[in-house]
Amino acid sequence: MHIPDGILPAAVCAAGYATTGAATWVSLRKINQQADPRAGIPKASLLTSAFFVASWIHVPVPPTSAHLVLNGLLGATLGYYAFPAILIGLFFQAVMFQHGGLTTLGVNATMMGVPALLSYYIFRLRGLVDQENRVWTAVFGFVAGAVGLGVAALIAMVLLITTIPAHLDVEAERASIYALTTAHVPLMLIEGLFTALVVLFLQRVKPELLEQG
Amino acid sequence: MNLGLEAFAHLDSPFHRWAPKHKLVGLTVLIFAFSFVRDLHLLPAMLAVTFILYAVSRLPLSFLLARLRYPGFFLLALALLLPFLSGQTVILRLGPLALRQEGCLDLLLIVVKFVSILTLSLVLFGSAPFLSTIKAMQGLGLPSILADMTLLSYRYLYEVGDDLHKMETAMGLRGFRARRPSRRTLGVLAALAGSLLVRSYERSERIYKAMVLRGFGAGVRPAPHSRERSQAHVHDYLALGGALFVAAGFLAAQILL
Amino acid sequence: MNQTPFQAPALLVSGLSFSYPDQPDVLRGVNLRVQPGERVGFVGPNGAGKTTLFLVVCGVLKPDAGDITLYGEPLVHGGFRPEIGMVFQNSDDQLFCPSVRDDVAFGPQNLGLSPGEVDARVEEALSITGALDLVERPPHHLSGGEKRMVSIAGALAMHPRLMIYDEPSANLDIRSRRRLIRFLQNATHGFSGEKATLLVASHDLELILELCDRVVLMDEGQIVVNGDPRELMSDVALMEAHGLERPHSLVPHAEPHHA
Repeated sequence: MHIPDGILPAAVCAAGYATTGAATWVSLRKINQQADPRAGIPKASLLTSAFFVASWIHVPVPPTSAHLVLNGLLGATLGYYAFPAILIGLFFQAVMFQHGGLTTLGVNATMMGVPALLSYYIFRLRGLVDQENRVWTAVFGFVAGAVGLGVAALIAMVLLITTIPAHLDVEAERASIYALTTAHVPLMLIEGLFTALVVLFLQRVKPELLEQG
Repeated sequence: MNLGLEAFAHLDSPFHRWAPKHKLVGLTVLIFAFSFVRDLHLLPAMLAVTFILYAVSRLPLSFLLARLRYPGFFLLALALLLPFLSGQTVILRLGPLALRQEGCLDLLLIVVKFVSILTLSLVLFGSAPFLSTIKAMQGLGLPSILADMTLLSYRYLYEVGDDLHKMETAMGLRGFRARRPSRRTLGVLAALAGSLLVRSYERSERIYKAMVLRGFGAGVRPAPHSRERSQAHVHDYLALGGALFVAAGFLAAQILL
Repeated sequence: MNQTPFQAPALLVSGLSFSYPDQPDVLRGVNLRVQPGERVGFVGPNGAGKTTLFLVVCGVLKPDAGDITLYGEPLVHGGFRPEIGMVFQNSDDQLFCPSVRDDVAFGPQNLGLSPGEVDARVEEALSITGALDLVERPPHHLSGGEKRMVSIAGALAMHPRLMIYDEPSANLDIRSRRRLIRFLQNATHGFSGEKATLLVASHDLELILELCDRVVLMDEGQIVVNGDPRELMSDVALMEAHGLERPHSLVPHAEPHHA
């Protein structure tokens, strides 16, 4: 769902950079409010690399395989560092693999980064119930992962359909949005399930990774 | 991995010699000017500028073609949809499908813009080591937390990539094949991803200790990177001016047309 | 050389204890004194506490109890003491900058030196370690031996008086290992004119024999014994009691098989 160059109008690209700039500013402020912001940098950086690499894992989705976006998982584990992490990850993808455009970097970062922050808050809600309980962890992990992908996909669909073909009639537009959204439902389920499984793994092996501020 | 991107970073061309900060600003502004274009009459000019610049950069054509392949798939999907769905003016009927003029023109606009922007970004990032481009961004005001994170992530991308490769090889050697999204397969892949995260996390703790040992965060302000002092010459500014001029030309033309 | 009758120790450790949150008693009441110019080897099984001791002595980890004095000044946890430098077991953890030049420059920059001075330190450190031709390379393109020498350069660029090496010959091929040993033997990088003080932890007992004036045997968080390398490491009962063996060169040969 990385939007390439050339498709979106310049105004939308500029707006994307504006929203990404704002979200980055907010994230950096939250980060700087922590006790030792520089201490979090190695961790966030290494996890940025790890997520970038993890998204290469082929998950079989018949008839082919898919690469997961994992923005929900990023939000759950990195908290506010998730936004810069996604921005940097997308930058690397755009420059090194031409996956996603440079003019659309702002749009893509907002599209995937803001839901990641949403997923962070969703995952934190498990503190209301029982943090240690594996079932609750799995449930909140699932929701965080599914919502992370779902909201991102929704934003992408709406953007593409409303901006590219200026000549599509309203009916066709609505039909396309519905069609593409339904296509994403199985992907949401898989991301949710995968996120839940990873979160359970982390809870067993390295619970500190799930304690985010 | 990204050795592909830096494969030609050590050639010699005017772009390779252009000072990083000026090149970054000049080409970025030009790229955005291109994204502003909506009028089809400007497309030939855009293509001409793009290919002239690419030729000047001495980067091989094969490099560009290889890089166009992957994102080309998205465009292929658009090519199959837009001309048949968008617009009213039918120019050709193929059985039940109707090829529409507006859709074709929309597609043309998108393809030309896409190719031009991608080509320019290859010139920008392929004509110098990736590291120097990141440092140029830092010199232009990228917040230090972002700069530090980018450099550190970039540094360890290989290590983490190697980790993944080794683990996948080991899994394959013990017979694992990811065929269906069964509970077990997803569980194994989740453990793979989880292991990657845990190992990276633990590595980051060791790195942090190594950084502290050499004074990181000790409250002493580090001196600015010595090499990044402006060594810009007149021709760097001239080239920048040229790029801005061309960009302004496209913007003006688009507004007036 | 002017030897004052009492020379302040480079390192003085007394009653040092440390536990990790999930691992108690990693260090138990460790006492150690290292004189300037000494080369002290540390041997012992994995988990003996050697690396932990080094990290505590550098100020990176905070001890639960005990005092550390470095060149007469008490060491404060979290304080930055450039007189002490450490080279880790895994060079990848230490070379975190995208180019060799940046990495070696990291320490001097944190010392607040001017760009010109930083450049000079980088050149000097890389020359000493024979790695000057690697200066613009990214660390992940280097071989194990090259990474090791660059890590050493990164520490030396801060002009330390005391250098700690944690498993320096681990994963090195024979040639790189020999180069390392030669480098350490000739280490007179006491930049203030004094001979370098070294602490070296290693499973490579032959390296310890070739290099060190004194050996400390650690096990289960304590210093078991402290003495002359040849004497200590020839003691079969002692070595085997602590999960070690005598280095080959100290094994008396019933059937001589050396040339």
